[in-house]
Amino acid sequence: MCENTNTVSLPEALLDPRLSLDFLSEFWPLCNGKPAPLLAQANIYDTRCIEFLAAYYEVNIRNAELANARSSSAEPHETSAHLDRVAVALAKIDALEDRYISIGFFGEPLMEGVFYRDIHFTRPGLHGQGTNTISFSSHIAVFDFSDIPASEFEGIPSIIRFDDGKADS
Amino acid sequence: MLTSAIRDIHRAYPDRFQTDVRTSCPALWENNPWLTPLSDDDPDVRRILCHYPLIQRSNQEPYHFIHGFSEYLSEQLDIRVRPTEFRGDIHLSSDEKSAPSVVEKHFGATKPYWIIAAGGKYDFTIKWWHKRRWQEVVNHFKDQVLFVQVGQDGHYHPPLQGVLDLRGKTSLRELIQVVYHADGIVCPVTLHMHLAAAVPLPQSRKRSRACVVVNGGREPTHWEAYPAHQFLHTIGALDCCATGGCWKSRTVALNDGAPLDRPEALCRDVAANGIPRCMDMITSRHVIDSMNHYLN
Repeated sequence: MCENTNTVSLPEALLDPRLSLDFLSEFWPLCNGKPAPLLAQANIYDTRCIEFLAAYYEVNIRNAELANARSSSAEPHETSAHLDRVAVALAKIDALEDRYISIGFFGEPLMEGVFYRDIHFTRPGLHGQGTNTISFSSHIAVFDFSDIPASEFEGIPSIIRFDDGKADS
Repeated sequence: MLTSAIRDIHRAYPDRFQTDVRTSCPALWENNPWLTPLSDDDPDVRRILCHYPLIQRSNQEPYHFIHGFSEYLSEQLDIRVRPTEFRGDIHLSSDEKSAPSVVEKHFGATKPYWIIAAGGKYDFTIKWWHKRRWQEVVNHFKDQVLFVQVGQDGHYHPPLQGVLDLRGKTSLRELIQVVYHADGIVCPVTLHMHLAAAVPLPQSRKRSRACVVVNGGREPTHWEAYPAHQFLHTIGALDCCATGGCWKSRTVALNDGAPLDRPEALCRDVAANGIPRCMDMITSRHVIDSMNHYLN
């Protein structure tokens, strides 16, 4: 056990797969429905998004390799090796989720078959949102029409006094 | 919890008080028979800012949260109010009770279901359990239990697979209706736990509404647990909650400017998977077994 003064820091060596020579753009997911900014231009929120996108990209690549192996009637041990690589890539997503669960940052993927096409990220809300006290009464009387005297439906409406949820003319 | 105090004041002192409230959740007060509309400008009206200071003694004294406002208002009004029921006081109109549930609307037929709240607000993040644990629970009951995932937009509610996803799709009033028809609820210490007890049962239902609560070590058991709930906790099992709840706020700082980020308000023992040790000690198996208490 240790004293917790922590916040979640970014990894020291985050590589943007888009800068790699063998980058396959068709497997790079969108970020909140749009292309993600480059790492060099990213703020801390974007950087976290890119971290997740890179992990999902790797899963897409591994799944594509697996599909190729299967379609080319690969040997069982080769298919098995591809499955292991998919599992390793998925484990990286789990690790990222563990890394960011404490601040509530996560990606919600939109998929096409086994491929991750778009990741919608949730960013923490601001403290105190939605907790203001309203300035008007919370008394909302809802009662059956049968409880309202028939006279109330005729002529000019009169004032109805609400008392313990019952109407009283 | 204020709803129960208002109910109990009126039961203890019929016709002595007229009460009205100004709260952040007016939907909780719809159809409430104990309220009378009172004007802010009425010189005869006394305004009381409601607190529950009893919480400061929650680790030492045997009281439930339901005593919190009652005790405070008893002091303020020089009366003696005791809880008359072990639940909050939510009221549904007859229309709300008879209307088909959101689940029924979705499937076109009634189906038994459980509510799952796999997260919460960003204020007390220490209450969160791990997304994968929730998913394991859902996976275990595949083909046996229909789970309806709920949660407010802007709060932390990671998506689960194999559930009916109502996250961000219900108003608070609609959520109350979803609870009304639910067989059970599985959640951390949150609104849904209180609703499980406070929302009345359908007339045909004999047993209390089931609820499995993943608490960990933050809150004292006797302060939060309702009689028919399965309340999973680690009080007494770790140094940081050795004799009571730790009452910490966050697992790590969020840097959002909230005082909840103070070092003394942060979890002292975070597990490798990013959640507090006490929450990590509660496994999906524990939750599954607790649900089976009701299901079997």
